Amino acid sequence: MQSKSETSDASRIIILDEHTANRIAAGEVVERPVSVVKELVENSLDAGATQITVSIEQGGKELIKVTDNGCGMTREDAILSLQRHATSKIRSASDLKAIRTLGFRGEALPSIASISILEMITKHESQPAGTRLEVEAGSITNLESVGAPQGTTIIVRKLFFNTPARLKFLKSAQTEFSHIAEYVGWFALAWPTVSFRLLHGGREVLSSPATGQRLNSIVEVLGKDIAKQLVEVHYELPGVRVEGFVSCPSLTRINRRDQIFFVNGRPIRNKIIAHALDYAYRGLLPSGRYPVAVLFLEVPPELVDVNVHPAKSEVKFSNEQEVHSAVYRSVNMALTTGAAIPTISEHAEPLGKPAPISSEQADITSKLFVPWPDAATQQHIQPMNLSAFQEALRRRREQALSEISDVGEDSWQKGSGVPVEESPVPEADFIAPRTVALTGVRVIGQARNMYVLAECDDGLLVIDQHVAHERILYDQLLRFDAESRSAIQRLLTPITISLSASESTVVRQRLDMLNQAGFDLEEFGRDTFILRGAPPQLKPSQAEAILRDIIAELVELSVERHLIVRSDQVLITTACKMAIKAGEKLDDREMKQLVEDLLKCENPFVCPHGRPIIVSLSNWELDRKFKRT
Amino acid sequence: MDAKKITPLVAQYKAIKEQYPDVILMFRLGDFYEMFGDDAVTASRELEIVLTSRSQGYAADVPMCGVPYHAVDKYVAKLISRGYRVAICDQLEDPKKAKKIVKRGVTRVVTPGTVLEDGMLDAKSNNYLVAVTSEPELYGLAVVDISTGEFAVTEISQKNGSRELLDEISRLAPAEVLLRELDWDLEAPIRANTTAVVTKYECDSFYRKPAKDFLLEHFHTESLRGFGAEQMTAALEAAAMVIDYLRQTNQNALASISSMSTYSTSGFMILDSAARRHLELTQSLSGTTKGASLLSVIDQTKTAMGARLLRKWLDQPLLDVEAINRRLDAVEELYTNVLSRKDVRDQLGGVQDLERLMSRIVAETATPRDLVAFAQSLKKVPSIARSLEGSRSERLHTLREALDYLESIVELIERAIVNDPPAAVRDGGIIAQGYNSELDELRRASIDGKSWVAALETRERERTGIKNLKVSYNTVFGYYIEVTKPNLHLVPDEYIRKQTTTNAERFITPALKEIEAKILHADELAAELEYQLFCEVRSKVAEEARKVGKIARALAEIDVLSSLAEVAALRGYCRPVVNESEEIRIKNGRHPVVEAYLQERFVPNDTYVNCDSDQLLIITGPNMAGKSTYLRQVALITLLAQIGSFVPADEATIGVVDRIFTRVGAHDELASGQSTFMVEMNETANILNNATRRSLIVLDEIGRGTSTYDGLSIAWAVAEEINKISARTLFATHYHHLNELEKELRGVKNYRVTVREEKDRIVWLRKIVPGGTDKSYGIEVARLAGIPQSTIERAREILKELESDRTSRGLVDGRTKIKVREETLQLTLFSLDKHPVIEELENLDITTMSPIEALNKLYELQKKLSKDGLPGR
Ligand SMILES: Nc1ncnc2c1ncn2[C@@H]1O[C@H](COP(=O)(O)OP(=O)(O)OP(=O)(O)O)[C@@H](O)[C@H]1O
Ligand SMILES: [Mg+2]
Repeated sequence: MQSKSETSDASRIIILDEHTANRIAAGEVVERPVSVVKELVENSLDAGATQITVSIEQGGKELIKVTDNGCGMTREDAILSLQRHATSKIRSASDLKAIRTLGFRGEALPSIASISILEMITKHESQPAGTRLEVEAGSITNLESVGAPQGTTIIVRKLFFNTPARLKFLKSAQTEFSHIAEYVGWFALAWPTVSFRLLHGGREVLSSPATGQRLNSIVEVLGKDIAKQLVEVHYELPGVRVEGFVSCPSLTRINRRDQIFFVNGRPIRNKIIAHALDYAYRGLLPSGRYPVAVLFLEVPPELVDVNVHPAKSEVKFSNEQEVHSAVYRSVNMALTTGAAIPTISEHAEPLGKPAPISSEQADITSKLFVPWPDAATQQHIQPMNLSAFQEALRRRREQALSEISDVGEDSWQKGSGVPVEESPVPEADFIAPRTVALTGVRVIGQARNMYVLAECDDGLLVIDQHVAHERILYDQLLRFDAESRSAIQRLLTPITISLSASESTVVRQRLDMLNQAGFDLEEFGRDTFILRGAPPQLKPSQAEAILRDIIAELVELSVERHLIVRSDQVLITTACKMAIKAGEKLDDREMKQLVEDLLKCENPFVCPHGRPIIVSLSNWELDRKFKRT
Repeated sequence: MDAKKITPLVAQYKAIKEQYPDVILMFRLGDFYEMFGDDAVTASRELEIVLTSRSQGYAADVPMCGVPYHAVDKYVAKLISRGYRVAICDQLEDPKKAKKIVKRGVTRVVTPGTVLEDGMLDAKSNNYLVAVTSEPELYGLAVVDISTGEFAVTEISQKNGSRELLDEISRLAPAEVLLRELDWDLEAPIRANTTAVVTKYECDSFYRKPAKDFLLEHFHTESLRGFGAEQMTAALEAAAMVIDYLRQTNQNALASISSMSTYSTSGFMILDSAARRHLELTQSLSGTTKGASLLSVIDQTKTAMGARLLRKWLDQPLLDVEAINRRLDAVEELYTNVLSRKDVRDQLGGVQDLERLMSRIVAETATPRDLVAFAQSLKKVPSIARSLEGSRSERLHTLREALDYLESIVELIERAIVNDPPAAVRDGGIIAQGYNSELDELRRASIDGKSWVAALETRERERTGIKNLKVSYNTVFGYYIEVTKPNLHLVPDEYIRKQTTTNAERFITPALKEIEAKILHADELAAELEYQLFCEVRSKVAEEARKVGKIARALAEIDVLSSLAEVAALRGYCRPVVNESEEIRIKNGRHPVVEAYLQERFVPNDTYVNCDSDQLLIITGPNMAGKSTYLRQVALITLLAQIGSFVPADEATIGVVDRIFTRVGAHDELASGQSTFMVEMNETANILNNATRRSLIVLDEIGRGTSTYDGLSIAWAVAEEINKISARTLFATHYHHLNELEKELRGVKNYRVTVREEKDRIVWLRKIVPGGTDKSYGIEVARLAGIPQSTIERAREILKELESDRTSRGLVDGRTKIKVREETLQLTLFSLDKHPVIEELENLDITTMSPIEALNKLYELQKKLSKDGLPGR
């Protein structure tokens, strides 16, 4: 980080000459609120700030406020900073070659000011009083002195108020905010010597105090559960230095969203780095799983081309080869020697089964080579109670996944040299009705007693038998009517079921729904119920066991949420408990029936819990993989 | 009243009420607690419940009101919070079994200092009962919180009269204070200093032995040496009063008082009640408890125990540099080690109030839910210990060591009690399957009975040929057989008809009822057994009270330390250097509370003050500039440092301070019958009498409440006196003349808060710089505050006049006349007052003037006249 004296020297602002201004591809600096945040925070960092607070209202549509304790500006500088192509950072085109500071175009502030109502409060060390400036659509409406501590606060209100087209393009406040949260998180990761605070609607979403330790920032940004399972990497080659953290193979993700790369402090995307990382994990991860990585590269500025996109997210290296091998070697070394396990991971337990630990070495090996948890365990690795920040990031990810057309995953694969078999983002493969039509479906067989394999006119289908059945049952329960009532099977002898106090409370509250689900259940003395009939889908001998399962789960739900279980929860739980389990062998007739029933469902793709039911491989994809197209 | 007309019930009531004349008696009658007579009038008013009157065997109507028994806690709490005491009179036998009138008696007296029910307590502060006794030269004080089992005694000197006692009581902020008849003169001052209810202690000499013996008996010990209190006769008397009072009011609570500690007020920084209030430590001056206090800003504790301990720390900053640094080391370690801090805090989040749970367990009022919460909290202990593994700081290490895992207790509770038990203790459903075979058998009997009933349906269908015969249950008749109308002709003779509905009739049979009775009996026995088993488990757990207490204290401290670390990280505080020096040196200090609530950014300021070269800082500056804020900021930073917290500054060195004195703003204490000025002078006297070289004094304007000259003179003299004491002092004042002290006294330094005048407006720059000021901008502030423009303009005119007066006459003084408004315009030139030249002439002392001087003076006066233009010239 720069010291204040250096930067305050650089803070003399000079208007760039035409030539220089034009050399910089202006593009559209401000695309959405996050662009504003990014520009303002970069300015703060360039001013040598050690504390930066970002306050957001309405996802940044109402207000974006960035406060820093950097060197601040004198009154003339403040006025100058609002003029186009004024920058304190580059003086001529030749300076562009060695861009070290983060913001460099000198056009961010004027651009932002031209499309918003902007207020600036700034105070430079050399002056006793601060300056307050108000700007509306680019013109200064107020200028006065204020008492203020050293540093700058910029408040951007009503972004895009005079550009309705842009305004219309903005997503929901939550979505816009999740972009901001992600970006501020990146800043926090890259600048452990700077305190970052992010607030949304007055609520603190991220606080990353300046501790100077990268791992601490990772704790704040990615959460402590992830941080505990990281190993440190460190490596240097001429022209490139790599530092950061990558996950033990026990911690994986289904996509690359938790791979965050920085070049010279700037968050970037780069296929070379991603590939080198994959390469280092070759053979350590199951297909379709990706490591978590936070990597910081230092590369001489003249070897990095950052000016490819106004969002500065994609970079090109002149020394690709070195970058690749530095990343590969650093990660490989960390994974194989385990030399750099961070001290605080002492009490980290791999989230899978805890392995016995005899010595430190054993500890390391156990961490590195515990068998990867299966998909079911992976679910638990997602921290269950997400912080607001993580919640925002989660949204961001989900949203990113829905924008499949984004900078395609293709680019990760191209130029990698090695064919990447597994499709990187399995969720994107949830069959969408538009891609594969479910016509001419024919069962082929059962795999691992879990999946029903089938083909259809457009390709291959893999159907999860449990969730498929769950969907079928759920739909039936929802359509409960007189006909279904007559279908209820009477038990030969009614069964009395005695329950605990809490169980009977829940059952009493939800007796109606259980009845609808086909259980003819009635109160029968204190904490006791009588079961006279069971849903037709069940063997009578199973009825009691399954009902008890359902009740246990309902109690769990009500305890967890502290409220009465929602009625659809009762039905979902019932459907789930009654459904065929994974691991049950099905005969041809059963499979056929299952698929037939499934196709009748309104939504055969997603189960009531929201999990996918069908995964497809289209004929086109198949042929392409075999190089037939 | 005619005795003949009194029913036995009324007689019983009167007999009991006689023993409790000055408390509200709640008398259990059926499902209600009833109050009669004056009690009823009071209660109906305070509780907003309807007052009725019924002739309960009295000749005249007696007012009465009642509350349902299940909601009684809520009503009692309300009465207690209004300062009343309540006696609960319960039925001592089962009304069904009573032969004649149900036996009744007072089971407990609820007073503000003896409540134990969760709903009546504030989780985040202690609920203290204090007893005070006096001896020649000494006060004895005992303090107990029965909800946590804390019990301590101390003795306090009378060398400053009752002041030190009152300071200590106000620190404790008790809910109730006990006084003997002979100490009743303390009642008024205690009431003035606290919100406590003061209760007269009445010694029941039948029970009450001399203090020492009485205590020996209570603690079941041979001597009091173990408590270190043997010689403290005054304190022991107070302790005995507390124990005896608890015996009288809440017998159950006595069990949780298992030990007694002694303490001395001398190990801590002294903060008198004025300082506590002025610095807004736990309460903002504007009155509301929470508001913006220092506590509200720095309290990030996760448990109620931690919250209470933090409040205690805040009230008792340390003096011992080593002890302070031990805390600071621990905070620093948790500050730097983010992962273990987060881990610890996450785990603490699942820890309930072990202290209060334990007290209820010991007092036998804990519910099954309490026990489950208790076990779940204890279960967190090992993982908290694990998160602190490898801690380097001494304090954390010690605390970690104290974290025993009481596995057997947890195991017992988990084995005995179901996961999610009901709150009630007598209705069963508490004890887990498999814990007790007898219980399991009873339950089986009940289940078997029910299965028999269930099977009856099939049997009876076959026997009677009624296809849709059904056996059902409802709470009114229990089990019955239902037959629809068309089948009624098939009903056998032994069926007994019970009810007819639209489509069916309901029957019972003797056999069915017999089984039902068995079921009910088994259920009843089971519930009784469950209660018994539950009580056993509870007493088993109660045996561990001491160990649990130790763990709870360690958890509380870990919570406080990690909370301080969290705040430091969150708010950007730094670790202060705390030492024995005589300096306070702060770089870029901030006011922790103002900073937290301010919309704009807080302007940080430096401070340097010591006991000689920079001892007395005179701080001047316009209204609203930030003088008061700055003063308190220095005091708060010092205080935070001495509780072992990081401080809102970039750097700070604090030479420990034995006492913080404050004299802040003018404020009336009409309640104590003192005027603004009197309060001010009292506080000032206190400072001059008690400050030492080690003290920190914060004077925010002295002498404001009197005439300018008096005020200035007092301020000046006080400053001189404080300079002699050499205590580090910050003195904010509007008397700019005090700036002259800098030249006269060593150690006095002038500072001012900067402002800038801009057009018709002033800009507060909030920066403290060396040097004096001479302008107050009071009118500008008045304008900001919304005083009408015309008034403001008038004030400006007057100010101008006064200022021009000042140039010729020196100080603004009482003789200056302000001219009547209407005349202003004309009269400025033709003043009705004596012309200054004439006045000056009058004042000339010609006898001491040399001729040349006289000549010069004459010339000067003449010039003045020609400039002003005297009328008639
Ligand atoms: N350092 C500071 N930075 C920012 N705001 C401040 C600062 N100090 C004070 N203020 C603001 O100014 C307000 C007035 O401050 P304060 O009451 O300390 O003034 P004062 O000089 O004591 O005024 P008076 O002479 O009227 O008593 C505070 O409530 C606070 O909002
Ligand atoms: Mg003031």
